[in-house]
Amino acid sequence: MAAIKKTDALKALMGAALALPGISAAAEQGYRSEDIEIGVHHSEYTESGDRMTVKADQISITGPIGRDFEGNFSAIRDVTSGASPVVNFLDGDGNPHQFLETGASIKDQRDIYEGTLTHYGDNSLSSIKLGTSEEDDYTSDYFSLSHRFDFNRKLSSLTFGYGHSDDDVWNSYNPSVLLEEPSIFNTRKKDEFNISFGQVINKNTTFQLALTYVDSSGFLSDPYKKAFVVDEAFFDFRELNGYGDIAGLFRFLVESGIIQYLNDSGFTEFTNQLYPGLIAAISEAILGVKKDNRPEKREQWISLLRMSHYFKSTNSALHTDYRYSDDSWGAYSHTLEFKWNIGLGLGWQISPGVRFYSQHSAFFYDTFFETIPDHGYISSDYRLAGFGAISKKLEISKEFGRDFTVYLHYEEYERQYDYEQGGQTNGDPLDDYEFTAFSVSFDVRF
Amino acid sequence: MIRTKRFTLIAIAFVVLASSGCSYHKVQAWERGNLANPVMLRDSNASQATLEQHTYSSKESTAGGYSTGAGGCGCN
Repeated sequence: MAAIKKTDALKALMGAALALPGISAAAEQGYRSEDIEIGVHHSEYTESGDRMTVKADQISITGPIGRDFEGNFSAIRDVTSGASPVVNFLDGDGNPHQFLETGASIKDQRDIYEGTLTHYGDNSLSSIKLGTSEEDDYTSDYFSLSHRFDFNRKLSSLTFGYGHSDDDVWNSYNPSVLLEEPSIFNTRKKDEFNISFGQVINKNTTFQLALTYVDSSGFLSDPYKKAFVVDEAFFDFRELNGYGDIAGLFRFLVESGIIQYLNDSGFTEFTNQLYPGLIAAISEAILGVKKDNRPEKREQWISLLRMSHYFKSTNSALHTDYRYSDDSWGAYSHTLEFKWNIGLGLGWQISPGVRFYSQHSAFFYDTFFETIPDHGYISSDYRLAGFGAISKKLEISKEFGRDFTVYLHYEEYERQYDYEQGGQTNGDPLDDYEFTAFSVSFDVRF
Repeated sequence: MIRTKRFTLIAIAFVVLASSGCSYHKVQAWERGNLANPVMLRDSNASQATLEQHTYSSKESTAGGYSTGAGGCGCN
């Protein structure tokens, strides 16, 4: 994104009027740049406990079109590998243990292509974005429209946004991995409506309030995740406690590497190819491992409050965001984030930040289930559990003249079950983990 | 029902704030220099901001609220 050029007084003043946190990157840019800008971005994401790693690369080009338009095209590729939690089993004492598919269980590549066309009017900014995303087991086609108009001598703005996505979801069946099921194919769609009001409060402070309604429908379950239901198992293995840790049999098979051996040796693949779905069916009937099953409709109401304040004494700005989200699944959340941009002169900027997140569990989530609830929905997906998370971030950028900018970004994210605010809901410390993310970007303008 | 009331209250606050925009101190054009300072741009690197939001939406139940138009993913 082009930085505001300090040497161009007129554009700077326009930028001041428009420097309201907007709903799109173009809106935040404030004015149309006359330059062509190319951005290259690389990031690496690593989870603790030998879980997932993601490497992502992005290239983006932005340039003026005619007098009033600007075009942007972005291509992103990310490659994911590692392991992800599949289901929780109980040991002989009734304590749940997480089962992760290890080895080459996850190897996914995602390619995204996006194009955005933005029109700059005298007191308005309109944009349309088209995008497509492809993975080995997921595709998404989406578009969005947004229109912002400024009034009150450009001290206030209203933005209306709409987004829609059509997604296809399936299971990229891997017969060499335990608990994988033969391919399924499903669809889901999402509609988003957004309205945002921005206001310059005084010569140092801006404010934004945004409301978003999200309506998702279709197959919203995760085709890889399972939930353990005691009543659905052939036998309540906890009763065998004292006669050997038979309930922890599965855990033993995992931790001893036997399952890994069955997968690697080809035994799992041989069995799955000879009798597709047999292992999954047996695990469902005997071990009580049921498919993740979520409601086919979800509504979310999200409120966002943003304030930015400039401190002249330190040439810095504190950006504060508070987001409250509620949804029909009961997984409401609070997000509070602070980012402090400090201008150090000579083109240097350093931005420490901290983010707090707290989430209530979904009404159909539990670490494991004694029985299937009356409503019939079950999930042990760790992302629907009650938990909290703290992120610490640091961003450093350096602008070389007006043509070249380098960005470095580092983040440490820590998720803890007992970080949830306002009382703990369904969840368990077994889902706790951390991740680190590092990225580097180069922007060139000419 | 509670959440509907809560959202309605926020929506009312939204309308009040939007309609009272004119009552703020009018910041003149020559007073907007601080607002134009690059540090007032929350996210000067759009790619990074987008990536962060995607990461959070892959690992948490809540997604969105900051912008519209992101596609879905089969993230684990």
